[in-house]
Amino acid sequence: MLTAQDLWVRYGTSVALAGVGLVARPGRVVGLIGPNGSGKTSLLRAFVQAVDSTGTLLIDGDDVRRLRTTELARRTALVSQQEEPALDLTVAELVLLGRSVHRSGWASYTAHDRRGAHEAMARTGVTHLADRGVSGLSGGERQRVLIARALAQDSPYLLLDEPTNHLDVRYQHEVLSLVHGLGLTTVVVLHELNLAARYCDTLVLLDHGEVVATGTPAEVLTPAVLEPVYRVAVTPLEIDGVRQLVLALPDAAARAG
Amino acid sequence: MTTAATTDTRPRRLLGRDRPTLVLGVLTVALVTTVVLSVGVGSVSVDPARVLAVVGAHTGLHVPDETWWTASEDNIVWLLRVPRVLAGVAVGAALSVAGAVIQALVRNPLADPYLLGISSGASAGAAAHILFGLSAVTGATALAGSAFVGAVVAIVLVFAVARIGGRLVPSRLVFAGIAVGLALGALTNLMVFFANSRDGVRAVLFWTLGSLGQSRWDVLALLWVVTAVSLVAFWAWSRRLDAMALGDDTARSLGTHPTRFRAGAAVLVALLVATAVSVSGAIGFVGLVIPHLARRLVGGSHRALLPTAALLGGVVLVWADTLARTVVAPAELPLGVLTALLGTPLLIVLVHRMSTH
Repeated sequence: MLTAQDLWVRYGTSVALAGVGLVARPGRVVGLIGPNGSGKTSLLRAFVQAVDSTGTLLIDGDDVRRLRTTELARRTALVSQQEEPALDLTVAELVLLGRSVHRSGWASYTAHDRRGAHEAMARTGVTHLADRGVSGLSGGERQRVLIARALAQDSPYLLLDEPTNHLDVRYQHEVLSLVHGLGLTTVVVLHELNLAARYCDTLVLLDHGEVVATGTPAEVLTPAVLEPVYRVAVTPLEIDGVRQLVLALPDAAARAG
Repeated sequence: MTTAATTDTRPRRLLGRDRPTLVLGVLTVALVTTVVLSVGVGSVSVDPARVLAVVGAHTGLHVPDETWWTASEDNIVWLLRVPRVLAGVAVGAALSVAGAVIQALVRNPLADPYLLGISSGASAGAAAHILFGLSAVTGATALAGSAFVGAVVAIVLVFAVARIGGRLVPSRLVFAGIAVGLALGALTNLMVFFANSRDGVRAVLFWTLGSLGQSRWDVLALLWVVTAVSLVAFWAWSRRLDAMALGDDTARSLGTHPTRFRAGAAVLVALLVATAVSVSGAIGFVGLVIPHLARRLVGGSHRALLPTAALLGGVVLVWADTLARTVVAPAELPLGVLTALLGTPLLIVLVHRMSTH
């Protein structure tokens, strides 16, 4: 279980998170939603100590700040927005790197590692890219490769920062459906509310560094909750038992109404 | 090897999965051959059999009953050329590995080992020694020592500046390196400006252009030990370097504390480069171009890249130095001038290739 309580993150004088709480229960997918600058990414990155924070941060009851970086890496795999494949690794080399959290600097990868990397590539459908250079991939291919790298890490907790960025619609659904089916405890930052509605078990809505609402998609994705935060008109629909939203500017909605 | 590297385009798997092993094997043979041949080349030419006999006799590997070579051949081979060539191997390897590592640490393919202001510090130290004799002892060892002190001062300054009020991120390290480099460069120019000795000014200029002419046995041991230890350490960190090249968040997610690792690795790079530069002066382009050539040969994974860069750097620098000391013999071209002349076209080709895919 991942737990954050009264979590504060400050960048200089500006406050990114002001006393936020979050609980990610085993096997559940928690979606972090909210407008730009609401603190979604800061909350995600606080769990791997990529930003300095104050307050309670627990992973399976252990204080995150007291864990060594290597131990934290065995427990959490992060796919960040700040990936820069500047130097020329192949896809297979990059995915295998996920296994390095289980190996010391001297040790070579084992057959078990190679198998793990291949399984991860198969799960995200990038096996055919194995020998390609990472720098030559399209945005969608790269995203799936990075998720494969995180899966190869074999950590019980998966942290994803907008994994559907750069993906076309089909792959957005494929990637999130994959993540949902993994059975890992996952915290995922999402911009697209309808994807969040479909693939997350719990949603946490952030605004100006504070939690505005927490609950199931049906509880959070309501006009009363969303309209003041996003300043758009929200019309909820139920399609196949899934809450979906039609969004429009308030005056446009008024005209249509 | 360099031609093979530049004509080789994409298909990294051309020779199958064991391509790095094959490349390393070929480069090892090339390095041994390079050392034996280049020791023989010069104003007095010595054939490889004699070179091996002299080396065998001095190292005790094969002591013949009588010497069938001349005393002057013995002196030339053992006292002048062997240490010079061995220094070339170590300096070439050190600069190439340092370049590959620093490029990963600051995630910039155009970074080179002198980015941290080290060569400017070493030059200032060397200039102070040559012009004002700021050292009781004299000779090549004292000069190397002064240059090393200058380089260490530069390192300390760079880290002090880079850490003022913030985390050690790539841009801060680069800015600090440039600032300290400029300041120490100005100091060197100031010393040259106020110097009385025309010979001294010439010596400073020659030193800053780089040369292996000062390589003697007494400075070799330290150079080789530092180079070997650094290489082993960086190789053990090769997967961390891969992770660092992918971004600070990714490095952290893969169990490497990015700012601490960057600081530690940069200190080791700095010491390695300081040691090399104190022996050879600031030889440019090797640390920038060789890592890129090595990447084209074996790919970006540091486990294969670092040893490849080390061997390739050794081979290239020894041949460059051989050229430098023979092409206008009995005079000597400054090695740094030669590596710049050879390196610039290579760099242009590499940048062109980079932009086309």
